[in-house]
Amino acid sequence: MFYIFTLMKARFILFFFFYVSLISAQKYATRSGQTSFIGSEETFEQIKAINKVSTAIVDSSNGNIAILLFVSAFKFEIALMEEHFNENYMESSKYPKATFVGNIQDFKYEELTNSENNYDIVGVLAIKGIERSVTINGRMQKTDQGISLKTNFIVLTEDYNIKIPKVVRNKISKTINIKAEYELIEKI
Amino acid sequence: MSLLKKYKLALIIVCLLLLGGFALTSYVYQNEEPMSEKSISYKGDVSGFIKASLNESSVVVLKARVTSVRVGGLQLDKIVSIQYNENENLNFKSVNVGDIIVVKGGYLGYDDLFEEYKLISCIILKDE
Repeated sequence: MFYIFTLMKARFILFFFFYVSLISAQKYATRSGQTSFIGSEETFEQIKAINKVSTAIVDSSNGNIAILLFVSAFKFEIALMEEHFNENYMESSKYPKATFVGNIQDFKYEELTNSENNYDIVGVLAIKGIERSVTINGRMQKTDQGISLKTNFIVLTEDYNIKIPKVVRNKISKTINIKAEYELIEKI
Repeated sequence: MSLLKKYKLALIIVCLLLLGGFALTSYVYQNEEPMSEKSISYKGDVSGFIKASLNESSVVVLKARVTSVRVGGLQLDKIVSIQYNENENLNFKSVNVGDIIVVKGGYLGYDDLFEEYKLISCIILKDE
């Protein structure tokens, strides 16, 4: 109980300080970021989905970044797959959100150009209530309306307690390839 | 068993397998229920919607004022962000800031980053 309370308090403080720092800074944001994943081996029907309502905010003064997405907003081509994803694997009614809070290392807005630059983004990725420190590679560039952020990274299902039943173990990959594309515009 | 009976039995088995396969394929590839036909968990204004303890993925109908128009979405009463599918573009095209509209959509939850409630796959209800 004490552990849960401490964890909740730590998350609150993290979000609070991040949010407060964003209020006074120049921010770039999106409500319609695209996050997709492919989570299958080479099977007849590939397990892939896309979330087109991911939200992200970048503080251009210090490179702080926060991303939030609703798990149930992932859309599959097959409705039954979507149902199983939410109910059996991600338990989206219990853990509705996935978040990332971190910092884009060595980020200087003035140095962004119209061509992609690579950055290490260090932070905490929380899925199914489990938080893990991660470093992902992000490609960023200036656009007409703001900043473009793209990234590809891999998540291990066992790291986030995503249990795969034996019967489909050879169909679902233990590594999930995640791709994110966010077109961030200046937030007024 | 005569040869004819064997053929009949084989034919019945093949038919059953085909029917089973068809039923299984239909079950797996069934389409998602369209938003217009989904049952509603909450219907009313935004203040009541905020007070209602709704589960994520609940379907709601909201009557509210448009406070912002964005690409692919709207903001209602300054606290609800809605997004619609591309095939709804035409219906949402004529919506302007200040209009009072009735929308039906899937409730996602509260977005801590933007401090607003989120609805997706929204459609406009014209007959309300």
